[in-house]
Amino acid sequence: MGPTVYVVAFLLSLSVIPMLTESHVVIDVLFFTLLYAFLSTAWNIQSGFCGQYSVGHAAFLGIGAYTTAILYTRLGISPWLGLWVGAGMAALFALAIGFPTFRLRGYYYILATLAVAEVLRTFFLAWDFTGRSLGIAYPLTEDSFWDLQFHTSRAPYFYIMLAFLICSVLISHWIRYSKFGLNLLSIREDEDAAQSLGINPFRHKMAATALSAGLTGIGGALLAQFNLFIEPDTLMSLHVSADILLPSLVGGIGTVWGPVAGSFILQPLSWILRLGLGSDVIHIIIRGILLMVIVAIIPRGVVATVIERYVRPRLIKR
Amino acid sequence: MTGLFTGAVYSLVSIGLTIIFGTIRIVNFAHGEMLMLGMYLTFFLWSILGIDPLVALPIVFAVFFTAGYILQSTLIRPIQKHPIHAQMLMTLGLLLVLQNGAVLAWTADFRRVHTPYTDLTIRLGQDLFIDFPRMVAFLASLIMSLGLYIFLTKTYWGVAIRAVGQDSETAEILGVDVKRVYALTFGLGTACAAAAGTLISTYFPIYPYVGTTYIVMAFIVAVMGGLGNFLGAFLAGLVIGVVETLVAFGVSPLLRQTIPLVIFLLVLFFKPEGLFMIRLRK
Repeated sequence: MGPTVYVVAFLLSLSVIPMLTESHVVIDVLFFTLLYAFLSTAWNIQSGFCGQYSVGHAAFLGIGAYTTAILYTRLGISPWLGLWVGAGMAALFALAIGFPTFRLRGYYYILATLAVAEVLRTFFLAWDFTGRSLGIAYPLTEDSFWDLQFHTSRAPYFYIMLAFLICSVLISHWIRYSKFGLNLLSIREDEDAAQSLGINPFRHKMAATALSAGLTGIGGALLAQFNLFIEPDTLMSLHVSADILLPSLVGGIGTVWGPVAGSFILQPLSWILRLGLGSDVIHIIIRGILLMVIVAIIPRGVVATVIERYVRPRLIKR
Repeated sequence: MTGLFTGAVYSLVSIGLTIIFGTIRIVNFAHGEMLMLGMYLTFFLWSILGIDPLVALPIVFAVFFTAGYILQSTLIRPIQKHPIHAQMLMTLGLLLVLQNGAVLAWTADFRRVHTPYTDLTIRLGQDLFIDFPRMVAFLASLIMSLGLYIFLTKTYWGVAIRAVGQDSETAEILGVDVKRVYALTFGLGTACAAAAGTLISTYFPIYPYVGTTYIVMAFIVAVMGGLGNFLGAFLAGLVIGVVETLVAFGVSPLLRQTIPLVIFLLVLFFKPEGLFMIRLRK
């Protein structure tokens, strides 16, 4: 199991935190840290393992959130069911986009993901069914597991998110070390060579994007339940897609633990800056600068580089 | 007509994007932000110094050519040998910084440039009116595109840009200063976007997120024309502009951006090399 054991153990150990503090701020920041670790893990399956870089994962996030919210507010269907429908919708959508674009290489998929996310956002802004720019607000209920709403204590959100994150890490680990995952890696490294060995790149890419989008859809549903309000601009803008891919980049693209490690560096930092500076844009600017600096100096990711340089040589010496 | 006018501006933005891609092999996500900054520069030249946007055009072009030149030398050059995702993330980071920097500096409010001709329309027939600012933008875009075309085909640096785009190593062997060509191209592409910003500022509101609106269209146009293809981008820009306007008036304004996307995906599927296969040759 290697490093995955430590990641899971670390995450499990976090479960004591809600017992130590009642502070809503702490729990909320932790929730977002876990959420983005989860989303980035999902992104990493497609982009990190398979090398199909997406800058439009906010689209899948939005689809998951809107499906769950619409099913609940219009039809009274529990978010626990809506979540899976949302995941399915996101996966189907990813397949629909992947079908024309995965036959091509490199930039075309990247550009398509960007365009699709933007158009979906503008479409939701214009569509009555999705509540236009007003979005969808949930009717508030009392604390209820079935309705997935918790007000008196935020801890249940935290535990639910933690459970989903651990599941996603295990899925990511399973993929990374399965034959399927090795096929994905080989496609990333050299698509032609992979194909000559009998791997069907198109099918593998489709499977990876469907899985990745489905998980992202679940993340969107959980985010909607947490905020109890959704709206296209905050949910599906380009900077949301950037937020999703950043943890992987900082932690280490293509590793199981990278997205989690990255999120635990970025999210708390971002929230401290946001709350400390009292500005809604400065933390985005700082993240942009961080992105550029990381790409220019250590394109393999902060944590991956640190481990490569300092931790591994020491282990080998022993 | 409006479609053709809008389309010419799309062409200009996309030409900037496509020459950058064709030569440097980098997709510049921050391209739309150059347009946005060009609009703001036009706005401040107009509001503080009282300079008319049309007079400001060469100033904006020169400023952003220099800015692009410096940007390429400092930020883009070090990552040029990095994998695709690294380049993409670099320009994405630049986009986040510029866009939100603009929010921080100038707030998210809409601004407008008001010139004596902003509300001027020309009557051509019974029900046929033409917005004067749009027509000016159209003509200026056409002239600039033509100028660029001549520059790329007739001058030393233009030919060098295309040579590097085709095969940078051979070009280098033959004595072309490739590094300078890269910076030059990026400056030129950036200036195109900023100039387009100046041209639309006479009729389009100025706000920090305006770049996103145009960059999506620019990508669609550039891909449709065949990434790196100058004439293709020019023609595809006009086509998309017309389609968008026809949809807005004929079907529904809400689907303005959706239909071009559908076309975009169809093009990707059936003709990924682009609709217009006319190559730029001497």
